[in-house]
Amino acid sequence: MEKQIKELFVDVSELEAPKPFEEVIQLLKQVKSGEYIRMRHRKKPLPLFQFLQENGFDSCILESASSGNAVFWEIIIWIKDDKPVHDYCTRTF
Amino acid sequence: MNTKGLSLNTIPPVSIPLRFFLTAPLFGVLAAMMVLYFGQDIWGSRWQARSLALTHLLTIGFMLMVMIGALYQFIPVMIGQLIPGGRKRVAIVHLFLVFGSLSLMSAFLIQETILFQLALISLAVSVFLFALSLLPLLITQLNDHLIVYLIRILFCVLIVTIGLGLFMLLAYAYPNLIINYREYTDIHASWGLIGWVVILIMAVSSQVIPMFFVTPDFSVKYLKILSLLIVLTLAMMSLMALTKIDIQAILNLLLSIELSFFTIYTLQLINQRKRKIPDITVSFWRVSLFSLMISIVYWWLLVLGTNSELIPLKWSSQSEFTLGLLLIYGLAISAIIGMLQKIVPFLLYLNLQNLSFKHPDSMSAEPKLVLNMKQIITNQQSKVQFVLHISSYLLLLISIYWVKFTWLAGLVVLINFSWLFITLLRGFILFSKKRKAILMHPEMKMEFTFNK
Repeated sequence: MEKQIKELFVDVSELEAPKPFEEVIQLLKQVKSGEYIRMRHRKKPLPLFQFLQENGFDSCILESASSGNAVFWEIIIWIKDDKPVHDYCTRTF
Repeated sequence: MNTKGLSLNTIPPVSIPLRFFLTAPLFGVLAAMMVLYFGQDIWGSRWQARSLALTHLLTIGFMLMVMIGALYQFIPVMIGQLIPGGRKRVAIVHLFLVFGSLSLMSAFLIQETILFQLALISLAVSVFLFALSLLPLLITQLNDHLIVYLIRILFCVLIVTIGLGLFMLLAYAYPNLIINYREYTDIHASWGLIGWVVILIMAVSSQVIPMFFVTPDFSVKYLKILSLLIVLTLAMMSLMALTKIDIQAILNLLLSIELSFFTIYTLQLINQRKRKIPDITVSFWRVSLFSLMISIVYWWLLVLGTNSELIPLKWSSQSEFTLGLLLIYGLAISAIIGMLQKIVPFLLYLNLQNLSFKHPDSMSAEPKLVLNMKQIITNQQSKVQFVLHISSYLLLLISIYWVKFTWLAGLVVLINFSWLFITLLRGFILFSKKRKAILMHPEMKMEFTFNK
């Protein structure tokens, strides 16, 4: 079952605002059941979390590997009602 | 960390910050009209009522107005919580700030005690209510987010600056009290222009520069130490000025080093942008930082020139106006106009994007209903703004020494602030039209494709 779960990865860590937001919006429009988004970002994008909460998505944030002084974040996003992906993401991340 | 439990309120409603941003340029326009009206007489002495009226139109009417609006926008985006108080309190803060600024300008020009009293009450109500709104966040937000720390420092600086300002206003409003306010003027000005302006620019830069220009992050440690040092130095300078103990030279040197460090550090970060795409707002920031640097050098030349025949510069009304312009128009207003070119389109874009997801049918509409930032304020508009701003800045500086340029300077300042107003208003009208069009589509939840 879990083999069918697909990751959509986007690295926005070198993009200026609001490009990271625009990039992830494009993915949110395409994401289907059985898929989740992994977004690499150099900031904790708080407005995105509100956006996700209000529009039927669930998410979690992880501190990713740092390079020098810079800390990177990984934001995992999935459709709230997609139970298999929800279970997979909460177990894995 | 799962974000499910977070209660976020990070996208401020457009009407809250935008009312401040749209009102502020009109005070710039009023300031320009004053320059046009008084002509070369505006550069008499900084103690003249008309100069005080002009200064406060720019510092309270424009700068404080934008900065309060910017804090209403920044704090939610950075810490995930709106500034408490609700829309009614925002309306009161705004209204009293507008009324207070207008009363203060009129009071200086007409010299009517009642107008000073009105200004005193209105400005006190506005700033007190705003400070009261900020207070719960500053006490309860115990995380060590840089912006919370800097706003705590700014809060103290604002209380000292405005507190001293209101105290001096008391002397004008109630002459019977016989308050010797003149000895506080320089202290009020240093807290306002160095404390409030520089630390505010520090706070705004620490968020805006890495976010919009993709530079490395500011060092949290550097900015925390630096802001604290600046405040401590200012506090000691104020105490020394009042007690007449003379270690001013050491403190001046210390302050110059702190300010120079911030300038060089920020310029260096800007130069480390990852994607060096041409962006006119970077130029606004450079002008602002170079103005601070020039004002430090110019100030030292004045201090040294007063004690030495080798340096021809001496303190005079002209040199005081030059310093004032470098700090107010060069340092503060350049950064503020540059910042507005970014944060206003960002706010409008974010609100449209959020709304369109709640009305998903609107996403397929052509032409697109969610404007991108460059459509809200175009590159061309920002370039025109920069040319106007630089021209007006240089003309103002020139007109202090060649007064026949004053009228031309006033005219270009008028065009500069009018252009800013028109640009922001146009962006807002575009936003309103698109918002209306999105709202024509039914509100529903996004439908996702689920595998059976």
